[in-house]
Amino acid sequence: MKHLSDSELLLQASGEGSLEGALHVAACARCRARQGVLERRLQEVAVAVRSAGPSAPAAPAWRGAVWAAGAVATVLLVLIASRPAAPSEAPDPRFTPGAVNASVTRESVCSANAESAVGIPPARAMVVFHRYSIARPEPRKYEVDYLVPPELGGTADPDNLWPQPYTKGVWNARVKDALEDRLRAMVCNREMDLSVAQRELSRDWIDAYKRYFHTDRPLTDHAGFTKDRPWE
Amino acid sequence: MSQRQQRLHRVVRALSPRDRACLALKSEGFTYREIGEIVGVSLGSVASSIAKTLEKIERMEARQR
Repeated sequence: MKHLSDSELLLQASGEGSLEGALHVAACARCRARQGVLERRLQEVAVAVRSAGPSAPAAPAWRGAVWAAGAVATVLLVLIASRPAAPSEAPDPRFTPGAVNASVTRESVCSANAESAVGIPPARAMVVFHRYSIARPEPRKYEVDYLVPPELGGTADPDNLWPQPYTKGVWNARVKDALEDRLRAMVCNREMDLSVAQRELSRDWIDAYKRYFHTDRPLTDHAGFTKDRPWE
Repeated sequence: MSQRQQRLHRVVRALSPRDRACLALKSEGFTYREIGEIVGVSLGSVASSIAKTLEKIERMEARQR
């Protein structure tokens, strides 16, 4: 039996390998074990790369590696410049299905030390724009927003991020921010389970807004609601 | 920073600019296909670059044992 190479196993682990390879991995304990080792190592290296951010003390060559991601992300703008922009009020579930941290609980969400949204690194924002085929995203026009916000257990995985326009239509980033605050308050007041709040946001946030604010249109007060920072 | 982390950093520092870019982008959550589009190589080349980096780390750790 011919086993898969390391690079083929890595592709399989990210769901980008061939069907033939997937069938082999499913039937081959040795390949599965090797794949597990590779994934663990990749995870460790990724943590090391992320932890050595631009502000961390590091040798110039290492900082260059991290900056390379930003530079390459800029190149990405050029590569996708010819694609049509497709901003939308609602995230596309194919690109943004939502991702939550399973260890987050109501107690941690509602504690004084609860997670709050942090800025999305430029390279990761580029992943999101790329997925949505948005060429040349204009500064301050979008919020690279969490579908499920960290305040409700959402992660910064690209699967949980989408480019939400501030200005396109009435169902914009400011309005969603108001819904997020409302749902978090309900979770912390024990009026709603955390998992329900996460589901409401990841399934159809506009429908959820209409139900929780009892309106078919965004409330006037929410048009100027500001919680998260725009992408720039 | 632990000794192991320092060793990891040394391996990464010694990579070619393209291999470092592939690794940095992978750590940011890009898929192999997306990295390939950015860097201008095939998806297989990106996976191969990262597999070689992991192999270097394995060799380095084997030497430390």
